[in-house]
Amino acid sequence: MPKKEANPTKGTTEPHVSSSVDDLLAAALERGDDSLETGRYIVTFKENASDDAIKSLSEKGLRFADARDYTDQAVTFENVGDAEALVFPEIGAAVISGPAFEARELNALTDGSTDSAIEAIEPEYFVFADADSTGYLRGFRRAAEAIAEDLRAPGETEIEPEEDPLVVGATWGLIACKVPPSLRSGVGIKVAVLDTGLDLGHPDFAGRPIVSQTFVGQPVQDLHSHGTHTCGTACGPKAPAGATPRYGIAYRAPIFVGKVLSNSGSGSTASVLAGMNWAIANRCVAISMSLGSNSPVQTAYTAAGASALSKGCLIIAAAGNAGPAGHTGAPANSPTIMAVASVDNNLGWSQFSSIGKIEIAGPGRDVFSSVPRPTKYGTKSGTSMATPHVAGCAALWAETSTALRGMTLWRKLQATAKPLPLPVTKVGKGLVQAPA
Amino acid sequence: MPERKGWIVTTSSERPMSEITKDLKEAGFSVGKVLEEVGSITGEAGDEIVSKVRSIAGVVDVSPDVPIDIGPPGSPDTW
Repeated sequence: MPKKEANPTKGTTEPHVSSSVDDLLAAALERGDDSLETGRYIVTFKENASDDAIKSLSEKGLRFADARDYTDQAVTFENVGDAEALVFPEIGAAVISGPAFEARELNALTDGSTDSAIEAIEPEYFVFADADSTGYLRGFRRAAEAIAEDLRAPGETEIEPEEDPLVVGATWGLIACKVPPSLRSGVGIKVAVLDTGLDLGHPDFAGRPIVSQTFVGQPVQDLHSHGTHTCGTACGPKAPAGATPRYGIAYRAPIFVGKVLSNSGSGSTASVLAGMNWAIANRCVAISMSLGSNSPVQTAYTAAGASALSKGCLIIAAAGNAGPAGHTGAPANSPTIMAVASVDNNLGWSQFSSIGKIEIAGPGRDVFSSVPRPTKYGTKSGTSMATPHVAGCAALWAETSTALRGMTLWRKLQATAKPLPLPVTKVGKGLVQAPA
Repeated sequence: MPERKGWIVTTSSERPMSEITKDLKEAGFSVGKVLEEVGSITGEAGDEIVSKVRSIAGVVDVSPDVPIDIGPPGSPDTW
């Protein structure tokens, strides 16, 4: 019979059944344990063998409490007293304290004998809700990487550290495009962003391989914000500093920043073509262009797009924000360039998104990304924001196979897009998706 | 002095761009950039010169250099 007196184990660092989660966490940190184990164990009983399992446990001398002792089986852990095990009859399992597990030699109960009523005894793990765990998990991740480093035999090529299975916060757009669970990083895949430049000193781009070039007679340094925002979406870091959610896709792609628009947001066909020329000369696999004019198809853009495709480069351009009354602008309206429309966070078509020749859609409403210092982060809307989502995902796909370049990459993006219940003139083949 | 505007000349790959550029200059076209990868030549010229250069071998198209504007920072109208 469990004693319902004051918790005798409160404040101790031993993992008891009655310990609070905070105490368990504090104890784990104190002993430098990066395994995410609480120190307690979960015993799972075989089906229909609960009574036998409980009998086995009590034969081992375990003092146990039962959830049935509580009204509606609503257990309050701090009231289990000094019970060493707490049984959950509804699910056929029990939690056992660390000290009891050691003292009673319970690992012998899972010796594989078919007589045993016990299915398994496994360590109990901490679980976290996304937003609260950032700093703590980063510590674990670093520790896990350090362990991977130690385990690597001399001469072995570097093992990719195991990706943290929990999502540490990401923008709605990245989640909708299935970016966080992707194993890809865009490593080795050149991505060009032709825009207003980039804040080259932004902390989130420190240490990234960046090649930059201006085509507008002003330094590449972005004093507008548009270019820094689109670069962020396409190529931002996997784990931005502080509690910032992940907002970037191809976080290891080499970045080619072409300033084809001035700090006041203006350019011309000539400056844009010069940027496209440069990106193709550098054989950038994905060329992101969040710009355009409400013009008919421009032969020069079509020729540029054709040249790009023939050289394994894919130009991805924003359709424009002329809304239902407008049409896809140039360069997106060229048949050799992928036009991107915008969807909202409910995956509905964005009211501002131009219609007509559309190949694919991306998240374009209220998109959080980097902006020039000191502000560092900001939210923008437009087909301009949808476009770098497609470019970033294109880089991840290109990483999966050297065969995915130019037209084959275009087709793969469309074939794997999430279909939407909307006309092709509004969203093309659907919402771009990252590879697994 | 006839008004000089900006133009984009798109070329065919059938003829080397260096030759087309030479012909453009000879016709009075003021060449800006020769963009080899995309097959375009930018520059400035008056309208009568442009009508002449359209017939140069290897010239596929001559179009005006169109301004592109995504608006200043914080502008409600963007792209």
